Amino acid sequence: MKPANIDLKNPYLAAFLAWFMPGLGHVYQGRRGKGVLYFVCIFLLYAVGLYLGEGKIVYWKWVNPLRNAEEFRLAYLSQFWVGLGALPALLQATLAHWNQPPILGGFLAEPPLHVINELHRLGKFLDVGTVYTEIAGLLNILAIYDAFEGPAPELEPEPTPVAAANASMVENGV
Amino acid sequence: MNPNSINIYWFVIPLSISISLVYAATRHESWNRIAWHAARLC
Repeated sequence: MKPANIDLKNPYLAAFLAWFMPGLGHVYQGRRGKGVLYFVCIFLLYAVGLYLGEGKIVYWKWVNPLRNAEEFRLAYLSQFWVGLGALPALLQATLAHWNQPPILGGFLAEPPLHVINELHRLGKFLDVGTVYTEIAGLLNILAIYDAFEGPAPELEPEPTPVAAANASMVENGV
Repeated sequence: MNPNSINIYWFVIPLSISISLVYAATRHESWNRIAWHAARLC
């Protein structure tokens, strides 16, 4: 249900932009405040999570989960929705799949096994970082939906300025 | 920084604030409603 007072412009483009960079789709629709809110909440959460995991907790590997469940990166399925921030992982995994060397200085490439094992010295930072990056991706799904469809319908509609004024007049006995 | 020196519950605060704000923002357009909804969820 599309709210009548919001111009969603091209919702498909807005949804793509919202995925590509959290908040960008809303800025495109002229909802700048919401765009900034989404960017700060989602991208900052993702960046802090990535920092806590020393940049080695977001990576992807092209494996069949039914044949190699241990190496399948379930976490990336939610991290992916952050968009540009997690996209290099997909690129690096594709290059690795085709036996090509990593680019971007190995940013978000799959770390060697000894590096992954060594990450456990981070203790709770490793878990917190993983949870932050995953939640950031999942939150961006909500933001993408908001860019595509507008705010979710409410049980009680938001009062228009005229309705709010009438309600206050009734309350004051005017 | 020693990770074990920080209580893990401190990490819940930014997570809780982000989730509340983003969820509230997907439900409303008005900033007042977003703030109230987010505050209720926090």
